[in-house]
Amino acid sequence: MNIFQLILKQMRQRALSSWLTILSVLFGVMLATSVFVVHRTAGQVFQQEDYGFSAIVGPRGSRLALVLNSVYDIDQAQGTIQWNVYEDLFRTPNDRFASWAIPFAVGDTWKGRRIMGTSGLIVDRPEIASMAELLKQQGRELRDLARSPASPESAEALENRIQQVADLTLQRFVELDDLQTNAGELDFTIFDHLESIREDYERAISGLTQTGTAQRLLGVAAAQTVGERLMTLGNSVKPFEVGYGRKLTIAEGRAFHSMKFEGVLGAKVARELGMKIGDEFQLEHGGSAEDVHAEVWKVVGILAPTGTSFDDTIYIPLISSWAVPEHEHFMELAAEIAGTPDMDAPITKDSTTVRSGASPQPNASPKPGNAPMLPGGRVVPNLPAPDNTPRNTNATPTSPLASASNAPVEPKSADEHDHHHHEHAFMLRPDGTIKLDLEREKWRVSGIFVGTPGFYQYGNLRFNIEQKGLAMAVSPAQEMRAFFMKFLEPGTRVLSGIAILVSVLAAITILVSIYNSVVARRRDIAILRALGATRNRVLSLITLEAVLIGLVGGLLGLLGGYAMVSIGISLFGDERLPIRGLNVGWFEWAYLAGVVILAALAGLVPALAAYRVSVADNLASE
Amino acid sequence: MDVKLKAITKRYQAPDGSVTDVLDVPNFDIGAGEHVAMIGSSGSGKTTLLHVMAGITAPSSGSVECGVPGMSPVNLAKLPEAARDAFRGRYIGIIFQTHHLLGGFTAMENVLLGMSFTGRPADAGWARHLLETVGLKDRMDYRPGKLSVGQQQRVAVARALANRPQLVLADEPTGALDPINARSVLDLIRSLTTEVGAALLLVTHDREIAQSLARRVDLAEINRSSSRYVSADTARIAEVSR
Repeated sequence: MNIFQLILKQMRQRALSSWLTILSVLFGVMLATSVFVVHRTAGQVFQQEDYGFSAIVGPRGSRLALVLNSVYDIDQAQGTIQWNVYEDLFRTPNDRFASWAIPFAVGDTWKGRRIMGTSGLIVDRPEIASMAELLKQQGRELRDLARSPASPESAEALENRIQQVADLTLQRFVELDDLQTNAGELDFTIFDHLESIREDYERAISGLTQTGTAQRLLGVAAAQTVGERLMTLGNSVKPFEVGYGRKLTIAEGRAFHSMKFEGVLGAKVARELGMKIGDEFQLEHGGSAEDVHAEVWKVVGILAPTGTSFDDTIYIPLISSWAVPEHEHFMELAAEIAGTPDMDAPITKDSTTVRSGASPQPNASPKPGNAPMLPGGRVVPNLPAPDNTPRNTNATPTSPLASASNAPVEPKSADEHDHHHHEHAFMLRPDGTIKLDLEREKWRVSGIFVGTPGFYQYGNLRFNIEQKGLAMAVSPAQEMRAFFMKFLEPGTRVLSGIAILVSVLAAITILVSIYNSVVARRRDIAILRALGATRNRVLSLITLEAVLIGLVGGLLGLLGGYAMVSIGISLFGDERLPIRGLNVGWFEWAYLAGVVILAALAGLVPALAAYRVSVADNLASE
Repeated sequence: MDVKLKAITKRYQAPDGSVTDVLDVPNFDIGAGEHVAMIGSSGSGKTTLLHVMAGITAPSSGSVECGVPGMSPVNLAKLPEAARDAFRGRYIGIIFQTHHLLGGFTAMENVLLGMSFTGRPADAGWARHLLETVGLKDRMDYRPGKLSVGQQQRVAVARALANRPQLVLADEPTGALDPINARSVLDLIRSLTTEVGAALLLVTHDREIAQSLARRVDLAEINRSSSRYVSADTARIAEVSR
């Protein structure tokens, strides 16, 4: 009979007492484990470094609220920022601060789920990389050809080169419509940028087709600019990341067309609302189910789960969210206050004013995929823009199919000129893409997710953004760490303290229970001694019993703690707390080791009493 | 194994500081395989002498030399306690007046328990043989509480012989038994010790039992302090009552 059989035998002899002691250890460890797990997980969630994006650029105000709203979908959006904040970021890719930038607009919901109007680059797919590659390659080709050689050329060589540049520029210009169509499907902002590059193309071609050499050289320079802009654009085309190297990907269906009334569902939304591809949804204004915008979106894809709050979001094209008349009106309002320093402060929407004349007519309700041409609104007036971008002067500048026959049809009610009481904020092109009424100078977004190459660049970004006074840049990692330390850490510390007290209490239970048994078993101990057991053997026998109780109770408690947390999370929880399986951290193992050591120490007290048992006294014949 | 006691004394100090001599044995030997009956009345120090010989108690002075074949003689009195415990576990079997079995263990387990502290693997076949020999073939899985007093004592005999000891010390082993049981237990002790070739020291106050063993010793004759022990005790009682 070895020592463990002996211990088990003795424990079985007083099974009730042994089990109750194990139970007290179990409860103690269970409580402690669940506190540790929740604390660790909350810590992981709130102190994670890896958000994928290193900064959120948003309206000035509470830094914490911006992170909570943008990342965790907690609380209300704080307001909006001007589109040109994003433009500036997008134009300087791989630069001093931003590797990539994805704008987003939030505030509306569908059945309580967050709707995020955003760039098509939010969802990764192969077309993004090939578009980026194509833009870079086309741009490089044009730039390299147009770039003047270092040494003076002969007249003939120069003429030859100019001709080559002219040919390539023309060829690229012819291809531009197709490129833009593809880009429009992928991401509306690439489409928009290509539209602005169109002006440079036209300038280059008009120069290159002159007769004078000087004008033609100016055309070559313009062609070089086109090339450089295409390259820059290509460098900016990068998908959103929810974590380092982790992207949102399509599990089913496809990504939305960035200029249509289409949407993709986060994994959790699709699962919990039971929505599938082909379903339709609308926007609940400001999260209110009684106030639903008239426009209808169609589900075209469902995302693969990521275990983040991005699973609980519905994604629609930014342009389609701007096409909502109430949103357009809000941006018009914001633009009217333009020029005043406060224009970036959160603006309260006066929905009564907006709504008074905005109730959509059933017939006029724009549904994508209906009749090829639907009246969408009115002619965009040529408001003088601050930078006087010429692209707004073109009557049909943004059409990927820029031909007269396909030009958007003027609505019958086009005479209406009241900005604030129109029914539509857009037109639909024959291919179902949206052409906004609203000038780009008035576009606004809730914020921008920005990926920076490193923390140093985040500092640059923040300085740069905040110097201009239009927005602020916040590091979610930094804010959440501070938040965790300030609000959650003290609470969990108290809980940890209680958990440790309970563990000590369990150890005392072990002590008392075994001590009582030793007192009752003095004669048995003396018999073991008479049979040849040394004092040390008796000491280890009793101590090991305590260790065994601590170990069994501890392991069961560990399992129980995880079970408790898992059950708790499945009942009240939140997938944002990522507890996956039995993932015991080093801290729990260390705690378990601590419990066993504590049990051993508790066992040592009765073990020493057993050690001192006198054989002669306890075996004396009665 | 033969045992030689030389100049053994054992004195206890009472809480009041007074010293009592319990043992003063100038000389006592047991030869290898010898069966010795020791007669002594209560208070004559026989249990203390057994404890000294078993290494449970160290004598105040003197030597307990144990000659194990194939080993140089061991002086139990000079060994540290842990070594005495180990020596006892391996070479000495003890039978008490009451059975002193562990209540939570079956008869078989109690015998196996006797093998647990020798550092050698338990010999279940030998344990079974012992229990069969003492007539408990059908009672091996019974706990002591389910056995009669006589059966309990037989288990205790089997346990004492579990390690094939070289010396068996029996302290009034039949004291709690009726004459018929006493007779048969005594016979078992004698036959089993003979079987394993152990020496036997059987302490009894029953002269008839003592007669059945080859050699008889009166403790009062070899323990010079037994009379003084009684008188010292009487003197203390007198002092307290004064």
